[in-house]
Amino acid sequence: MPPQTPIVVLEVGTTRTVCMAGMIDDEDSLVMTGFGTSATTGVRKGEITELQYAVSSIRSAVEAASKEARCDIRSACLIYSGGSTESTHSHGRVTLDPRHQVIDSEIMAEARDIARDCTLPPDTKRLHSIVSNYIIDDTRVVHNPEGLTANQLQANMLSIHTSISGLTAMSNAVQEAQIEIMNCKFGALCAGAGVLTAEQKKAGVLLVDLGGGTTSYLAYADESYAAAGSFAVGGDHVTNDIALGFHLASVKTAEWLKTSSSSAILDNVTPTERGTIPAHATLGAPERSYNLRSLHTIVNARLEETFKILRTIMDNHNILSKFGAGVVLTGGGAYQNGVVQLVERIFQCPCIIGEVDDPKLAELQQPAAFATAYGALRLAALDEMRKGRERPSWFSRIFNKGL
Amino acid sequence: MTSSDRFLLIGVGGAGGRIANSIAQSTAGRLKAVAIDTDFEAVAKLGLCQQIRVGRSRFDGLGSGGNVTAVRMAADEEAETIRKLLDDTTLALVVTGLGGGTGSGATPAVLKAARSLNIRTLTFATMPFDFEETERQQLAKRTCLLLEEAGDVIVTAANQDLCSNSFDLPAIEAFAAATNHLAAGLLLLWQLVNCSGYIRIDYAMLANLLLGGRGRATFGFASADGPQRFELALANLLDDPHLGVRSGLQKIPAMLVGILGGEDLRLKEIGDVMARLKMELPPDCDLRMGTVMDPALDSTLSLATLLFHSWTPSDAADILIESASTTKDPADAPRLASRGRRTGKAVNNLAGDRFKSTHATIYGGEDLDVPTFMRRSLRIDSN
Repeated sequence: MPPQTPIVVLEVGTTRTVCMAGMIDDEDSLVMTGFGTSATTGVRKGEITELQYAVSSIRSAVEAASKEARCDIRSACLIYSGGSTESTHSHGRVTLDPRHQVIDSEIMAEARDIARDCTLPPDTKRLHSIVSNYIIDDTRVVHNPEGLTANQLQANMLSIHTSISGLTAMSNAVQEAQIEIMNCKFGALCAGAGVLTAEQKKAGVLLVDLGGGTTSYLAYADESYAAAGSFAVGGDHVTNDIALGFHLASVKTAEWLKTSSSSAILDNVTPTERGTIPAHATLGAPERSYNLRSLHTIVNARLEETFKILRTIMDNHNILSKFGAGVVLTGGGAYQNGVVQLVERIFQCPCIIGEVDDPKLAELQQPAAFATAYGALRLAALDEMRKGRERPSWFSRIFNKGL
Repeated sequence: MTSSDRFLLIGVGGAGGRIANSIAQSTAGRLKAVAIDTDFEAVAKLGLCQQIRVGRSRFDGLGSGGNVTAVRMAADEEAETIRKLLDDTTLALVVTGLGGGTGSGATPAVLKAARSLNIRTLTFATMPFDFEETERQQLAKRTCLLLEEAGDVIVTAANQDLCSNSFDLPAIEAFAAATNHLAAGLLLLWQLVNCSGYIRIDYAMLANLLLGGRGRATFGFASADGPQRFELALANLLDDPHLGVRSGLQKIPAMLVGILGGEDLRLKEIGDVMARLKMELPPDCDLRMGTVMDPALDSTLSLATLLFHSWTPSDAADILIESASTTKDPADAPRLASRGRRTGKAVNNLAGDRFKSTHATIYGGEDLDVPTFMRRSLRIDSN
């Protein structure tokens, strides 16, 4: 049996670049064979700002994954979460021949093609066209109408699109690192595949991926994909706010304050309470104290604003009340102290940090920070299967959580 | 209250202050002018302007050094002073130079203060030369979008174009010429509502124009003298590629024309100018005009045009303004009221160097790269 070509995904985040390689083992399960990360430089708010630095980060992560997977990685599925990503709903209708009103795969494909043919905003590129559901004769909503009888079939589709310029710059950086891009997937869609369960999707859920440079979301409502997008506000903004608020010379000191002492909520802190930045965190400057409530206020203001924007977006989609399973957080920002409580207060529903069930990732301190890459690996494996590998059992094993 | 009192001329930053001072000089003190700057030595030289010195504790009066974020914070700290300045004002003419720290950092704060007091604003922003570094160019372009969000009508003029006729002069003379040329054009706008003429534009009309024409506009100014002055002035106005008036005329929805002449200004000349302009305009263009007679001008005829790129009938504009000005929380802003793009290809990096080379994130008319606590004016003990 010839050796398998590894399935590889690459995420060039604002703070971290992740490369994962996977294979299907003899028991038809997806196994992560290579995992490489590097600190990203040359990327801000999900955009390439310094090409050569970004290329260097990509090479480091790919090299580490190659080494662990013991293979030469030359191509990958690119994960993209640029800040100008949005989704558009469209539909396509097909009237069936009165002599043959049984819906088959061709009719479904025709309805999908019509729905996919919608006009997108200028200067954007389509990342995904996802069927939300089908409507039969304007009355019945179904997810798989094949074999049913109808006069008319409507396919409802969610198109996820992003800015051409941002995506092109990211693609250029990856190609400059000598990695061929096999396809491109939207980050929050991948994160959803990484952590969401079938039950959560059925009940309605909002996944929020809190990255370093962007906040991405994927919403399920009425058992369908309801909204997806990304805007360019992330953990870097919190760090920047702290640096400016406390007149800190080093972003690293602000980062230390954010991760070690800050909270997204203002509970249990008095106006006069103070903390200390130790000498090792001030990077040469003398040890200094700071007002703890002010620190929490800075972080709370930023994160409250971010989630209120998300709430408004969901409200605009008329799905705010449809998240029976609440909100699931992924990304490094999910581990910000107090953020879960903040989200619960803003959305008035439960909030949890997404769980990644891969044993290797589960050992890490912040596994949900890698949910996007892990989910992308699962989706890429599914793509492989769809390409014609005759191993149907993969599907159930890889997607035992259900898509 | 006189019309002059209703006007406030505000120059922001070094370039804005110089132009404001030059205009104030021409009005012999009749137009109240204010200069806002972080460079105290420079602003002290602007003797005809009231001086607002911002960022004393941050910059020691030495200028911002291009630190847009710090200027933004300093301007926010002076918000109350700026608001007091605007007391009793109903129209503010804001002049600024973009690309540097003070103009880019403080101008949005000035426009926001004006908006909060329901004061109409007309902003003239000069843009960096082509040969200036990309960073300044980007900062200027990004700031323009912020100005569009915060103000009413925004006119940009590239330094390259303003100095196009004086590139061979010594730099100091070229700058002076450009400043004087722009100042003369802006002065004409003020004169239209404050000086005698055959046809006056009153304050209410100008305010309505700024309300209806919110967004970008193109400004043109040209002069000529001698017997063929109207043809020459018109040709200078229409054919100067740097002004872009002729190319803009064919598609604009509204336009303001000001004609300035001496006591020898003839009605026929006014009629001819308007007839020629109408030939270039779309039939449904909302055209307003006014004339100014200045006895000091002999045989010179000047034309100033303001071409509005968008036009909303004033009733609808009223609703828009009302809605925008009463919205406090950007996250709750109705989309129609927020003229900003949610994640725009936009504006300026007011948040510091960290986001300098990225597209700004705009939502509900606010630059989300600027710290939330600053935009919300939350009290932070930074010590």
